[in-house]
Amino acid sequence: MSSKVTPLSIILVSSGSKGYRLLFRYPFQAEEQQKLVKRDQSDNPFALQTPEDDAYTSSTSQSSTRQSCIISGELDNVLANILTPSNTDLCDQRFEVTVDDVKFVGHPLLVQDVNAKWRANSSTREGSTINMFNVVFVLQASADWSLVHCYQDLSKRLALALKHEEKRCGYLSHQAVIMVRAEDEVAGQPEDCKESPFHLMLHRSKLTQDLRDVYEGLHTNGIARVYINNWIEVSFCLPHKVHNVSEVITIKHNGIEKSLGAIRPYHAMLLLEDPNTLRASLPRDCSPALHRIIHIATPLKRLQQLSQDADLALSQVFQLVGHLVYWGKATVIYPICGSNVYILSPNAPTSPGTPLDFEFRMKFGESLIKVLSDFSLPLPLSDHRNRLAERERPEGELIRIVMWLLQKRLLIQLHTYVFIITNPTLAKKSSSDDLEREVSTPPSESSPVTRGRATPQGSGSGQGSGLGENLSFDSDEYSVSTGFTSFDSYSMEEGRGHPRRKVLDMLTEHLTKEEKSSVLAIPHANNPEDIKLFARICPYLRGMHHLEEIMYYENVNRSQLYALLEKFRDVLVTCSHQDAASVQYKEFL
Amino acid sequence: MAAFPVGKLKCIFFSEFHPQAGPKITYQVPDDYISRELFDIFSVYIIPKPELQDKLITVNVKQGKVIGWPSCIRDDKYARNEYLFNVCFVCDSTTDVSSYETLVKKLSAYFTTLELECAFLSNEETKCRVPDILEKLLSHLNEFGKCSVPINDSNTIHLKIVPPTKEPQSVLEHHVPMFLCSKEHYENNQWDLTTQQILQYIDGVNHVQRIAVEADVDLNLVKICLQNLLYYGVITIVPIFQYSNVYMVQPSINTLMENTQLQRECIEYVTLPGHNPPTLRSVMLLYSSLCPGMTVRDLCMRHNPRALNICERHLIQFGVVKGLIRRLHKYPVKLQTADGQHNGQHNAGRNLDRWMQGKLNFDEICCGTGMSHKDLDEQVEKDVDVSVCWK
Repeated sequence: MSSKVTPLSIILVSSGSKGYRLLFRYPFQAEEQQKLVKRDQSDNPFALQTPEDDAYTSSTSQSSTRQSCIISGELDNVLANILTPSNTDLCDQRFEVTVDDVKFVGHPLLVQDVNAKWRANSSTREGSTINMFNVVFVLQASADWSLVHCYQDLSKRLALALKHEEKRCGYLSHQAVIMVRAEDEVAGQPEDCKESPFHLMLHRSKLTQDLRDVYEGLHTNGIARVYINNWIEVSFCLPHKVHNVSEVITIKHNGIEKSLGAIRPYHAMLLLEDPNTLRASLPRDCSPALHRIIHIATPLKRLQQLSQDADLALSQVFQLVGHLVYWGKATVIYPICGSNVYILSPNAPTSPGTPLDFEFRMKFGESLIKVLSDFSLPLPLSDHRNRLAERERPEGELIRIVMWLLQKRLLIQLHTYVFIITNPTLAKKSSSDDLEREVSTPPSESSPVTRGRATPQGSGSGQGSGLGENLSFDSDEYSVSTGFTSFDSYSMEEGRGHPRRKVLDMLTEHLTKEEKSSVLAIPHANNPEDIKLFARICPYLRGMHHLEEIMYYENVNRSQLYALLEKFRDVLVTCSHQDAASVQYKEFL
Repeated sequence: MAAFPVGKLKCIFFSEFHPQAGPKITYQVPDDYISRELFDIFSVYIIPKPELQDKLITVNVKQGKVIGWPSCIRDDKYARNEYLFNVCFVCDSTTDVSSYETLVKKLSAYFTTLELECAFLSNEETKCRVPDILEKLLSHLNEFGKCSVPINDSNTIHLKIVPPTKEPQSVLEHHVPMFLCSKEHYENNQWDLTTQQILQYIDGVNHVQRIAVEADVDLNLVKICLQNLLYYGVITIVPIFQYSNVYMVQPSINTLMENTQLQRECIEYVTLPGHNPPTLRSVMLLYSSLCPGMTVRDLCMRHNPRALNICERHLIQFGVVKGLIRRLHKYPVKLQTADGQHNGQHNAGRNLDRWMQGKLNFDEICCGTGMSHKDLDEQVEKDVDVSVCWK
């Protein structure tokens, strides 16, 4: 329950010919039973109370046991006043006022110009016109500005839809009349049987129901989707809530966009929900491409492959995936394959009896802790497969387990990065033999990949739903559609002119003088094949690209790369850590 | 999180409710920062209705943020039986104003006191001193982050900006405090007596429990003192150095390659005393061979850092402090087995069960039970029901 990011209340205010008015607010239920308590406890109506079940009530928040007056309604009039800027200069821009513990954010819009026109041809209204209105979200004062911006955007979206409908058919005025009538009706009732006017409004006015739905949606999963006047769709997703950000992390305003920019063709999409439920929840008018991509996506397949299978442009696949990620429906991972190395995420729960443990038991009939302890050591996934085979489990099971663990973000993947660091004393290298031995410790990928090249990987692609027994992985060998340019043929065709010169040019371009001479001092550098391949990968030797990326961009396979790193280990250092691009990204995914 | 500098104040103004003219800005520094028209836009939030008085009100206007604390003094002597005023701070809309909020409130309280005690604001003679005061406040706060402006014999306005800091992590028994800067820098009398007493034991080696014993100070007092030092950024907490520790490299290792300043610092720090500095390559090799499953002991056996003129303890310390590497903790978890009598067999291990609920790591268990790391390891190895997770 990240109560800090969800609004305390949603308020609709308007000002017009009859002055400012608070038309509706939600929630309002609390008022009856809380009023008595509040009177003697709180002398500060803007002091905040958070419900008992909120996780953070336990903190030493001094005002946490008091009820906000916003919800109790005594200040409706004052609120209507301060939330409807009297001056038009504050309209149609971000609106933010903080009073003690609470922050009011919104986006006031003027409607008077259109109203005048509208009034001319329907004079039956009872003279109440709206000049300006504001959909206000009430947040805690400590809300950071990325959150404030999100809510201001939502308010703006709602306001624009309302303004449009007001312009088209006087929707807002009409709804406002219903609300005002309900309030008058309640005011006319005898004192002792008063019910909340807002309660009555909820029965009569569609707009109030929509606002309630927005509030409830934000509270349940951070997603709001309503159709204003059954016509204009307003959808919104609160990244802070959707991505389960813990309360300590502040999302930078462009954090999501940045992360989406880190998606590469060699990544795969992992859906966080069951594909069928997800497809059922899509709006009816959504792109068929989205349906298709959800249907065929598997975490074993690169996005590039996905774009071929779905017959969509890669850029469109990126957009669709980005869209799903933004809405918290999917995450982006490196395709699950045998050479992947995973370790536990620092946040993985290691105590038995947690809900996750329970869910895992239900799904796989095994203790989560046991599996987590299996994944504590950085072994390639193919080794896990062997260990699992000992326990007589079907092969597809491991992938399902890994998928589940990745969906719950309990695992992080380690990638190998390469640095070129020369040793000033390399010339007289003699004693440091045992030191260099450790330079590259390739994971136990001793058996070179054999199948990847031969089998067309697209063959098993049609079945997206059947993530069943036939799930298997063999390699992350890339068979790029343009045809596999083997290194040998590459060197043959290029090898005519001045290959040595070309190689040297490439080295000069990416390496410093000392680095270049150290590289050339290595015996293997005399082998034209080796030095040629080295020249190709030398732009990637600054620790910014992991092996998988090098493999993808340069179209080399893993065994070639390992062999090369081994040959040139005297000038290289390899390092395994989490994908730097995904660190920031993982923070909120 | 880097403590980002608090945004500067743009303007301070004094506004009041004039019996005839209504809300107005009486004084502001710098002059004409807020025009009459601009003020009219937000005056409703500066001189508000009674329900909103004596509250902290922040309003965003155009590119700025205005923080005020509207105050009201009720007395028959005033024209409308009450006197309304508000001293407001103005800064950029992107500024984090949380550190100014308390200042505004305090300033308002000062002016209220002055008015009640000597009619400072209603007496034209003294009131004309307000612009001077505001001027001083603005320049001192922006320049020094604090100010003291004497008003009269009994009143002086003291204000200080406290930059927002997050709560320091809690200090536990097995933590090792370590100075971030040179220790001599801090060995003066500005600390309280207890802190002075424990200061000499902070060397990046001793853990909290040990410091408490050596300095003969109560454990909880030591923790409080260290937390205080931590808050001021004087020390940092590193995991206790043991040869059984496991670390892993973090993506920020790249900074070591890119930042030559950091390289120099690193090489200087990790060099064995009295030896030639090691090469960057050796340092990087050692760092990069840290991975899950590789203890510092393994590292030493494989690479013999001392032969490379590297002190392994300093190497690890530097990496942890600069965030190049991260410690992986070992969490033993006792899983309940279906057959209960199985547990009965090792009575010795039984009392350990409550430590092995997956919430505590080896360090915490060792500190809590007084067992040595080795003993605990043996116990865990022996018990087939205990799974070990590293994270």
